[in-house]
Amino acid sequence: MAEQAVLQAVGLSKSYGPTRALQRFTYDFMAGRLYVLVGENGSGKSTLVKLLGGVFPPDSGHMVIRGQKVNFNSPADAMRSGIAVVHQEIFVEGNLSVLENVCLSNAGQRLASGGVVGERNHVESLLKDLFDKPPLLDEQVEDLGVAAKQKIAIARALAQPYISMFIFDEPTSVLDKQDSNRVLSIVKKLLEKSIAVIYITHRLDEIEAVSTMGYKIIVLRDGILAGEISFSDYTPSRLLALMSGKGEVSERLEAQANLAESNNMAGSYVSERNGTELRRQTVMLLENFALDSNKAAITLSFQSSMITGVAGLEGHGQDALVMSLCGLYKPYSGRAFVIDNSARVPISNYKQAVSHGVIYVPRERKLEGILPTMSILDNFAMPSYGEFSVAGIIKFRKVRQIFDEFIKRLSIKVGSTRQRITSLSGGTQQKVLLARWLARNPKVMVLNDPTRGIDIATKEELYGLLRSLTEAGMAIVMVSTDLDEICRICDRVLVLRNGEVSAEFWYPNISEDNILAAMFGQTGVSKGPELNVAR
Amino acid sequence: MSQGKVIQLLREALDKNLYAAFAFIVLVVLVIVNYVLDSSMFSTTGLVQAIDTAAPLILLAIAVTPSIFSGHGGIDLSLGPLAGLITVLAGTYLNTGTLGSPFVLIPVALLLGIALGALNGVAVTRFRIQPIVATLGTYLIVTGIGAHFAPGAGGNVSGWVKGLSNSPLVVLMIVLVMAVWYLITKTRYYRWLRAVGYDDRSAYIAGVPVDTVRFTAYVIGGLFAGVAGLALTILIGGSDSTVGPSYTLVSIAAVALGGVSLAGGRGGIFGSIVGALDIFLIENLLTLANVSVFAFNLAYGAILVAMVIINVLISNRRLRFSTSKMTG
Amino acid sequence: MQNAVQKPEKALGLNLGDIVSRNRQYMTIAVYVVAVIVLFVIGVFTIPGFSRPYSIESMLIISSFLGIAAAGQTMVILLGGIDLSVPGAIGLSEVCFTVLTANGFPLWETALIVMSSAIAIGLINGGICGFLNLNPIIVSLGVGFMINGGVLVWTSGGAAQGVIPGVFKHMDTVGSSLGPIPLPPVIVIWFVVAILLVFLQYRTVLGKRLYSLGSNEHAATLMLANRRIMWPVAFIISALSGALTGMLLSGFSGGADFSIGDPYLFTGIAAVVVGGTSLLGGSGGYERTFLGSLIVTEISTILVGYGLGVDLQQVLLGALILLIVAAIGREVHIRYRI
Repeated sequence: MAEQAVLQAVGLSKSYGPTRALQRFTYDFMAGRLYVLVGENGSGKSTLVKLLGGVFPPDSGHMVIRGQKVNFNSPADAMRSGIAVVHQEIFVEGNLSVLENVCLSNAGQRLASGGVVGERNHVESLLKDLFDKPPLLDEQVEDLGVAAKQKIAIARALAQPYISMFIFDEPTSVLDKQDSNRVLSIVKKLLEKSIAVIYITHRLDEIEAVSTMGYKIIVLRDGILAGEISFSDYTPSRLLALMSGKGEVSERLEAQANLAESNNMAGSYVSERNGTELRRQTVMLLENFALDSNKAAITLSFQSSMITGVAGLEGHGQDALVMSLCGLYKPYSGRAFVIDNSARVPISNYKQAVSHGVIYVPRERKLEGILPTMSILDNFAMPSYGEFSVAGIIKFRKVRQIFDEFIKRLSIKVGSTRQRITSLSGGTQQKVLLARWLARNPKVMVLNDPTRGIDIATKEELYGLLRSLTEAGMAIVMVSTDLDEICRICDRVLVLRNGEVSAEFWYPNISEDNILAAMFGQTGVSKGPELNVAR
Repeated sequence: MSQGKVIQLLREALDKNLYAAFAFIVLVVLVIVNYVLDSSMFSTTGLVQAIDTAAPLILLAIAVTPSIFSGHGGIDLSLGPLAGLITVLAGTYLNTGTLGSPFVLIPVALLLGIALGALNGVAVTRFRIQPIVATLGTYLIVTGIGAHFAPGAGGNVSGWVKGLSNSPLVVLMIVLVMAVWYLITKTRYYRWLRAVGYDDRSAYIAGVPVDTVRFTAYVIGGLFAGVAGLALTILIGGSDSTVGPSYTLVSIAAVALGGVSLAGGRGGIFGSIVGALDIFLIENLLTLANVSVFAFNLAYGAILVAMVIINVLISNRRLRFSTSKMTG
Repeated sequence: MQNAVQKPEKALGLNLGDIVSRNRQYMTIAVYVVAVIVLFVIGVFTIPGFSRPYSIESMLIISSFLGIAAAGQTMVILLGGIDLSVPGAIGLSEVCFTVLTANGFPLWETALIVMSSAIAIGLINGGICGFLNLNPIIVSLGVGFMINGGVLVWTSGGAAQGVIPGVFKHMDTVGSSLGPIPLPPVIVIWFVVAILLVFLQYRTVLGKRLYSLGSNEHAATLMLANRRIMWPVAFIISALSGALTGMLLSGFSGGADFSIGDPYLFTGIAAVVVGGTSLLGGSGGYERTFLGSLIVTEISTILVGYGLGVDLQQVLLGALILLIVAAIGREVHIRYRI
């Protein structure tokens, strides 16, 4: 029985300026099959979703649907070809009612027979699959919570008249366990209707949950299709290996040891830890910290001359924790303090944090970090211009001098520093951003996913840099979703789960297994939500 | 109609127009004060005359609303000059013989409005020129054309136009425009327009033809501006290329005064009408109170700024502005 | 997701999708310099007398007024805002200088009054926009109305008599000179303003912070640029440049003319746009507005030379704006804003 592919991707490629987001992605998606798409941030997942969903056309390559080559100029085109997408970002219209939102993709055509009443009934039944207590059809969406909005986006996609492929991009990131189960039931129903389903997640427990329905796991890494794993062959470590590209876990540790011998900088990772322990002092405190009323309040301290990693599945509170530390976020309870010569100085806003030597490098550099219309030099020097100036007039020679030092120190590949920062690759931009904050001689650097979307070679350079900074006395707090990275360079790891610190490990007890266990709960990789799925 | 249904309709209307609540309260106050100072304005003839005088402003405020409503920095500066251009054509060329008949002037006015709206729409959607810049360009073009055909005030309109001065027909024009808009609000296009205005990215993802919706909004605005041009012609009874441009900024002020968000997606023509009436009555009030004409602008400005601030403080988030939101 | 915590970025009210990496086509300044030269050459070859010193000086004088009026506007636009009250500042200044002088006020006192008013105007505009995040279109529109109205009331609609302050009589006539410089003072002042502004933009902390807020307000705030300070500063510069324009215009007109600033609103914005500064903020600068003013003036002069009246000049200016922005100033397609 020959199965015809619902959609064939042939050589899809897309670049944003100098960044190659997706390269020559080729794959066949079959009807009634569930594909789980996995990849770190920056792996090309969202680009692929946007290409399949018709948001923009590929730079090269094409798609074939039921034997016909297709060109999508807009999401409307993709919808007409039967592709339904629930994006990671919640795209609903706040000023429209629930009913209007669900019908938006089909406005004009009644979703069901029976006129207005028939349509309303149809929408109500769609919502019943998603909500315990569905909101009123005429309620304005902007009054609803985040989870409700996401579910309405799902309902809208489900309401499309003709669906041959359904794509979920991290649909449960804002949903609780019950809702996640509902989504999985919907997935099952879609598969039963011979709809090809692509489900994107970075959560191992979800992958486990769909293992009975799932067909293949597709892994993207650095913009390319790294490989696929049949669900029958799935193990977490195989998956992690494909995602990080470094062979199986045990092989990786061996490779690390070899690397440590051959490369001075990397090799010093291990030895440095022994030397700096003696000089450690507490430099920051996060007192009575809790993210909401259900969580236990704890006090965390952070010390100089070490890297504290903050690990956990995405969205479990890492951002809130580190941003609270810098005065950028007000948690349900808790206060940050800088310890300055044994005096506790409270931090209530970011300006205070900066003036006490605490700086924050945000996660989404494109959105929060860089000044896209300005030059490389400006992007580097902006927070420091005040210092390198006399009576408001900038001493550029000094600025350039300092930047040159950083260029050498961080191996930043630039031509002219007067070019726009957007001419640089993602990794190089990140280096400029790090240099920007290093120039302020901070005592504490709080980094949020600093190596995200950066090529492997640059990552290694950054690891060396971070270690050498700690050797010189800096306290570094680093959120990361890359377990390998955390194990290699951190002296201490806090693992967050459900908005609480579930475990803390100190070198030499930092290992991927330990961290994974803490991320999912004491008993190792959890089985995930209960689901009765008949194969 | 049952009582329950009436109440339901009233509540729906209230919800839909709540954004204009503050401007409406101001309107009520102004009406009372104006009545106290000059009850004659509220006689039948007085009202008709008043509305005829306010008609160009009301219609221009209505006309500029769709483009603002379409979001992403939407605005149309060229509608005032269009109205002025129509007076120029009416007073200089379309005033005698066959050309002077209403069957020429009216279609010409409307078609001109549609053409301008289409030009603006293409500039904004196809060429992705920021609306304020694009309509600045067309503002200059239309003002220039108007000035070219009739450098100053003067001219003479057809007899039938003169006869319409102070006639209830102008009121009918406003009602007609409101009716057309009301019909539009019952279409799926309007739902699309609201979606595009509020969050064009979500609309795009949902498959709404964003560019087409925006283009159409500009065309609708142009059409209404054509009607405004006719009202203006009737009011001044001649041609004047200089008066149109001055309406541009005032009509935008009227819209903002009425609580319509400049960011798009929020409000409707009800607010614009209320805002225009507010401005008209303030002017009237100042005249009645023997405040010199010169204080008008002072009053406008102060009230405009005050009301916009108040509107925000009543937490109308959508008036929030930051550099990234200038374009939507 | 089991009881996941909402991303704090969302709690801060950031719509991350709005802040997009702008891959804008950035026309180099060279193109504009070439345009100025090319236009000049066209003028020389097609209009008799175009290259005479008298003509050149006249053009420069007209450019100067436009350029100075558009100077502060450029700063506000760099922030991502716009100032519709510029005609008000110009008119206020012109009326003050003519009327107060006629009433015996010494020049320095008048100048002080005008400067303080300009600072007040800038504080109101910038304060409301900076602190309350209101749309500058409406705020500056309202403030502009108020100034205009205030001036009208004061002068009873222009009935007040004004005189040209003696000093200004020869500021903007062709053939006059400023000390040893053989150029009318207006032109020299324009050049000085240009140099000061460009210096401010590129060599001072203030300038860099201005750009950063226009480029990416969120990132700029993390780097401690403060919109509550910078918006007032930009609007103050705008009001001051309007005041300067008004002062110089008082030498031109001869009476109290409150509406003398009106043409400068739209032509000022045109000069900024033609020069290639983006209305979104963060890119461009006064050096471009400077060239834009020259270009706009050259085109007007050439058109006058061809016999085109002001009206058709306006038409062509409008068309020019559309063409230029369509060519190099387009916004990002919605698909890349996702």
